[in-house]
Amino acid sequence: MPTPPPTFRFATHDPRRLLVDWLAAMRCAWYPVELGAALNPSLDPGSLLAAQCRVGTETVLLQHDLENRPDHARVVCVLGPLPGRDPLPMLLSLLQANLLIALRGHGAVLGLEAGADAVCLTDELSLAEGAEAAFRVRLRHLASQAARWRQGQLFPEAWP
Amino acid sequence: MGLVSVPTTHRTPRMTEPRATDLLERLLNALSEELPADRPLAPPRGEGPFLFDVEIASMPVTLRCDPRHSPACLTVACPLGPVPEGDALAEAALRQLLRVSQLTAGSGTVAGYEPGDRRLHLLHVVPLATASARLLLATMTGLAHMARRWRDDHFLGAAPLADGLSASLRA
Repeated sequence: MPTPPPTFRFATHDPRRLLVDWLAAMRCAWYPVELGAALNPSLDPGSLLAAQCRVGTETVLLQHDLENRPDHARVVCVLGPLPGRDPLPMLLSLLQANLLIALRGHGAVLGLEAGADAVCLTDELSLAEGAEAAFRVRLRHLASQAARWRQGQLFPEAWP
Repeated sequence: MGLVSVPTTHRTPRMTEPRATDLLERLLNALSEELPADRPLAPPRGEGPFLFDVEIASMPVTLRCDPRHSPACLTVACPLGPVPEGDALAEAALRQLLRVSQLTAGSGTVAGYEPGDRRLHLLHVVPLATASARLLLATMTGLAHMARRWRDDHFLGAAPLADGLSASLRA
């Protein structure tokens, strides 16, 4: 029986593969937060991949959902706790920054993680073909904000 | 202020991409047909920022777009009101707004503070390239309902926050 000729197919866009490859190129170690999720994306860790990712000396949380905006990865950088004494000026500064960022049309958000009561900076990074340079710059930038927060360089006027 | 700056990528639009002003005009024309007839939307003139105030569900809502920014976006803003009086209530309410912002991060909706008028606002950023009039109207209505709930209890009431949020955004 004759063998059918091989069918030519265009490579399909695989944002999960891009994400993993880009992290590897940046030498960013990552591991899934949920036990049982696969490190190798070809083993299909499921629709949602949540991972801790080491960027330089900082750790950020990465989330990628194949069923919801698969062309974007969500990055959460935990900055740290609010000032213990008189946090009101800092709360206002965070909200003021949110307004400025939104008016400039950007999607980065400063928020408060309810469980840990920690300030977080969250953004969505594009996983489109050709967006690797922007991904690299923005991921490093996001991760670097944690150190700036710890050193009191973010919103210095709001620290008591 | 040590603001969290967001690195931007500036690029020249390709020849085939519609200009931001054209996208905005197209969107506003479509939105005009969805809004009450007594609030016609005047198309923007020139390349400067565009501002439009409208009332949705008895709440003031502002549309703002600066076509010179890249990527071109439309920001929907709905005022929540002043910071609640009293340090304890103000702190609880602002903390809750930031928790809401964390919950809705990635959806485009965020809470902000305008020091000029000392008021809190809900904002939603819509990329012009993907915006539709129907989606925009739903967003405006959702923000108006959320703002009304904020005025009722500063999101500090007994109803679970996530349920209330999703109900507001569905409205």
